[in-house]
Formats: sequence, structure tokens, C-alpha cells
Amino acid sequence: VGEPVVISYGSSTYEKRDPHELLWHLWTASRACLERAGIEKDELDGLTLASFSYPPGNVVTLGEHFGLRMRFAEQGAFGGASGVVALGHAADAIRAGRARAVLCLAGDVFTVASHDAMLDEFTPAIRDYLAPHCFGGANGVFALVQRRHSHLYGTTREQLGKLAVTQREHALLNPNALFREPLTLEEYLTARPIAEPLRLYDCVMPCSGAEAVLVVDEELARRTGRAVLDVLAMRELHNAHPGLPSSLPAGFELYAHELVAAAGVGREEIDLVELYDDYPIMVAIQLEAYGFCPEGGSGRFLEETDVSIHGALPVNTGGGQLSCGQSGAGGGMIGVVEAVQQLQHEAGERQVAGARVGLVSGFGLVSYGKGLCTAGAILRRRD
Amino acid sequence: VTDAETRPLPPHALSLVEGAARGVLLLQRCPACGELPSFPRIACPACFAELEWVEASGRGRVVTFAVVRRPHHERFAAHLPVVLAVIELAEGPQVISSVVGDDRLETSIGAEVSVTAAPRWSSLPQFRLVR
Repeated sequence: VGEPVVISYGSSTYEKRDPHELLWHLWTASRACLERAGIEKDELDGLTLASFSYPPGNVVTLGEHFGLRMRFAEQGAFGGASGVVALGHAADAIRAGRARAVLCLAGDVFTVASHDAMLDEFTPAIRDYLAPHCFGGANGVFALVQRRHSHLYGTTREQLGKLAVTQREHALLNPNALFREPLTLEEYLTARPIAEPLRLYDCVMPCSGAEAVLVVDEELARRTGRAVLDVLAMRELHNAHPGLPSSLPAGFELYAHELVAAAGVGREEIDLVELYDDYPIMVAIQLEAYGFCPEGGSGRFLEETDVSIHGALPVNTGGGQLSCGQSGAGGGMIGVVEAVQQLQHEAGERQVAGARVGLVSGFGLVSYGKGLCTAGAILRRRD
Repeated sequence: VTDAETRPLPPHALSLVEGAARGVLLLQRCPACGELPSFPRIACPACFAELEWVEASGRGRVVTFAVVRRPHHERFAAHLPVVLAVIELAEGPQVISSVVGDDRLETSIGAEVSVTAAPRWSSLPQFRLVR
């Protein structure tokens, strides 16, 4: 039994409308991931899946479809936190000798209309208590969070807009991003209101796509010759604040210190962060919660800090969901895939020079006023 | 209230809509520990005891709000813009509801609101600004 390491990643081609079916996205992302690693499909003995649009299928029926025998299989029930959770659980299974090669998959086929329909009945509490108020989907929930954050801390749309503009600059260097035009701060500020204070470019665009990473036993990894990444630590927390109908605070703050301590790295050693970006305000809240700025200080931090790939703390270096599109549950894996690509020094034009340590954070399952699931992981390139 | 906005709630939650139809806010309360859950539960989320329904004051203050311009379903088109709000009730818990009335766009953080009998467009309790 060897240590678990991440050795590969893959994505399907993102699509705004869905000429391709879900299984095509899951297959092409998986194949890209396996081919990059030089691992045969039948060497896999573990599979994880997060997908909203696959039921009644689940991880095991996907294994049936793909012809896999699985010693470890896990369905991601954690919305946008599922990708980070899967990474940690796959590593745990390998460390325990229960699997040697685990493919972690997430993806969906969505249009704006089908995504709206899903949100209408997303959880029991949304179906029964929010949808009947015309909550506006996740946009309405995170508008509540952003207005409260601005009220408490003075966070401005200009500060959050700078993040959206920077992420768009990253997306221009990402061939898989659906948004390929520059975004100006003026365009961000004056865009169509969706759920005020949120406007169009605060909101992710639902799309179709899939993301995959491969976690294997280090002996298997050695054979491939790939750069290997250790999963130094993963922490997850669900329903972190019972009784509080808001993602302020969201829950990351309760495990962040433990996560960094368990990883054994200092925050100053973290070369890049991939933070769940359904909305810029959630990125801001994660910057605070993980200790990159003081509580309430994210607006000022974003204003004063270069968070581009050339900056002091590169954030969402592939453009994130805000500029690539949100491929449903794939949105919870896109940051993991980007971190792995960066730490393997294969990010091409958008490569963060010499990146060795990355933090990835997932967030999801919006319900009564908040996302219920939070998870964070720290990866380090082994030299 | 039209059929389009009415959904059958689970049996444990029916008192919420019965109260709303009378213009009063019924809340669950835990007789064992005093907990007031934010939305109806089958059992107390603090101590797991059986809950009872009590009549609340129906008054509270806006903690935060959103002005929903784009509905997630076209059945709501006639009600736009919708003011979605987190309301801290006088009794303590925070609930999510909507502020209705022609003056709803004057909603602000800290504004006092009261549960309303009419005009309403949801079977759930809705609130209006207190002047």
C-alpha cells in the first residue's frame, strides 16, 4: 500500500447548448484524463461521480455503462463541494488499501431553462419554502448574502467586479472557457440586474461539461512518469451552522485552520487558490475564511491585491465557473482540475510560474438561505 | 393565491399555510427546549423532541433582502419584481420570506415588517412594510 497521489486531469469540451448528451461529456473527460496518465480503463478500481442530471443513474450505473469493476464507488451528494470531497475520499480509500486507481468525475448537461427547473425543487426546503416565494434560484439566495456582507463590511461592487474582470482575463487564456471576450469593470457594473444587488456577470451561466481527475497509488504513479501531487489534507463540513439561514458565515472558517495545520504548510507557501465561484461574493467569503485576509476584509483585499496569475495570490487561474461556465456538478470539480493542471506545470499560457502548493475549495447544495456543504483540500507537487 | 403558487406541503408543515390564510404567523416551538426552528421540521433540530405550533407576533425586522428581477419560473411573472428577504422575527428566529405591497421596493435593512393577510400571492406567510 502506497501513498495516494494525483497524476492526471481531463475535461470535456464545454457547450452552451447541449448537442452532446451527458454520457459523452463524462466519457470524453474520463478518456482525456486516462490517456494523459497512460492508464488503461481496466486499471481503474474506483470511481466517484457527482451529477445532478444523471438520476436515476448513479456512480454504479455509470460503472456499468463504462464496463468497470469497482472496489470503491461513491456518489457525490454534496453539490459543488462534491469534487473536493471526492478527492479526499479517493485518497483515503487508496491509503487504506481499498483501491489503487480512482477516477473522480463530475459533470452535467444544463441549459439556463433546465437549470431553473432543477432549482425550483433543488432541496426539500427550497421546494417547500423558497421556490413559492419566487426566490429566483441561487441568484436570489446569494443576493441576500452579498447585500448583508456589503452592509456589515462596506464591500462594494467595484471590489467584487475587479475579481470578475481578473477571472475573465484568465479565461482568455483557457481554450475551454465559454466566455472568450474581455470583460470591463464598466460592463460588470452596468449589466442587467438579475437579483439585486447581483447583476448578470455576478451569476454563473449554466452549461454542459464534465471534469475528471485521477488519484492513484504512488507505485502505479511511478510507472506513468507523471508529476505527482500529494493530497496533503482534505476537510469537509456540512450544515456547519444549523439554524442560520445564511452563508455568512458559511462554514469554511470552522475547519480552515485545521486544514492548513494538517497539511503542514504555511499560508505563505500556497502558490494559488481555486475557490468555488458561483458568485464573486462567495470567493470573497472564502478568502476571509481561509485566512488570506481578515473577516470582512475581502473587499479591500481584492481592491489592493493582484489576484491574477502574475500576482501575489493567483485566484481561479483558469477563469473559474464565472468565465468558463458552470457545468452543474462539474463546477465543483473545475477548480480541482485547474489546480492539478497548474501544479503539474501544464497550464500553458496561464501557468503560474513554479507553482507547487495549491488550495482548492468547494461549496454547494444551496438550500434554506445557504449552501449546506463546504470542503477544502491542499495539494502539493512532489519533486 | 392561485394554484400556480400553491404547493402541497408535507403533513408536518400544514399549519404554516393554515395560519397564513388567516393572516397570522404560526411557528413551531419545542416544548422541551424552547427552540424555534426557522422552517417546519418533523422534530426539534436542537433536541429531537416533538414540536408544537404557537401563534407568533408576526412582526420582525429585515436582516437582508434581494430584489429578484429574473424569476426562476415564469409562473411568477405577474409578481415581479419580488423582494425576497431574511426576516428576524420578534421571537428570535430568522426566516426567509417575501415582502409584498406596492411600496415593497422601499425595503431596507432594519425595516420593520409584519405578516400580512392581503394582498398575498403565495400560500406561505408573506410580509409587508410597517409604516
